[in-house]
Amino acid sequence: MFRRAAQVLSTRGSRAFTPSVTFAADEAVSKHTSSAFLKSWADNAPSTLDPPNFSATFIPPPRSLEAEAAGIPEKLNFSFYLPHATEMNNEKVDMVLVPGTDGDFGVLPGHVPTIAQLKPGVVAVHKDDKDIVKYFVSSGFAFIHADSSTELCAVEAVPLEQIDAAAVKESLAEYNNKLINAKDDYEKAAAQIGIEVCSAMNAAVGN
Amino acid sequence: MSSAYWRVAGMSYVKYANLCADVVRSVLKDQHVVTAKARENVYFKTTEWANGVPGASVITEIKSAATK
Repeated sequence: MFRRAAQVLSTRGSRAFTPSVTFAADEAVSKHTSSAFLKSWADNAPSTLDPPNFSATFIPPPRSLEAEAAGIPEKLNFSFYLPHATEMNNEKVDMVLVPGTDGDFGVLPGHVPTIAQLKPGVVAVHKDDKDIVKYFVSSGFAFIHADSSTELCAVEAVPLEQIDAAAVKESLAEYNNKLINAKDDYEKAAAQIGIEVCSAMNAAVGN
Repeated sequence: MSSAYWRVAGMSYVKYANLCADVVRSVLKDQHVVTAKARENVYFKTTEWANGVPGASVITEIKSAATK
């Protein structure tokens, strides 16, 4: 009489473990089902009752993976702004080398969105394999956005050819003197700024 | 990471950035120096108003290479 018991128990057990309840929150409630529900609600519910809200109204829609799958653009959309001039505006370049305070880094299309403070140094814009434009930047910020558009904002940026190497050496010596003779913290900091910028220019001009 | 040396000495970022720019402008070649130095000049006029009447105007003019 219990010959078939084991068989029955096993089938019953497997059925019991099948999840028969899917929670409403797990399903993305499509507009179609909610509009169908709302229609039957309007037909059947008393007029004093408000229709219920759906979880979809509270949970943001799933991020469109297509925008991500559209992928990394081929070229960087680069702009270079100074207070007194627009050096470059929405130019398509391959790569930009940027002197950040935490270290020099290169920006390629698909770079992670970043706001980087710049130290005095050289910005190298690689327009393509052959065309490289270099500027010495006094300080500023670089903004890299998710769609690979990049802006560089600096107070002063000059092409390397415009820097007078001899004048840089003189200035460096002068600021070193100022540091030794500095009377307070402020003058010391001002002298250190001079030394920092002149050392960077020295390195940029190739001394 | 502690603050930058200029911040510790009481300088704002704007002051730091402008000082850096001043240093760069002072070591340029030939005519570039002249055009650049012209950018350093600061000129503005301040007028205090009280009861709808302007007071005395104060003109502030700083001709390049101010370190304070």
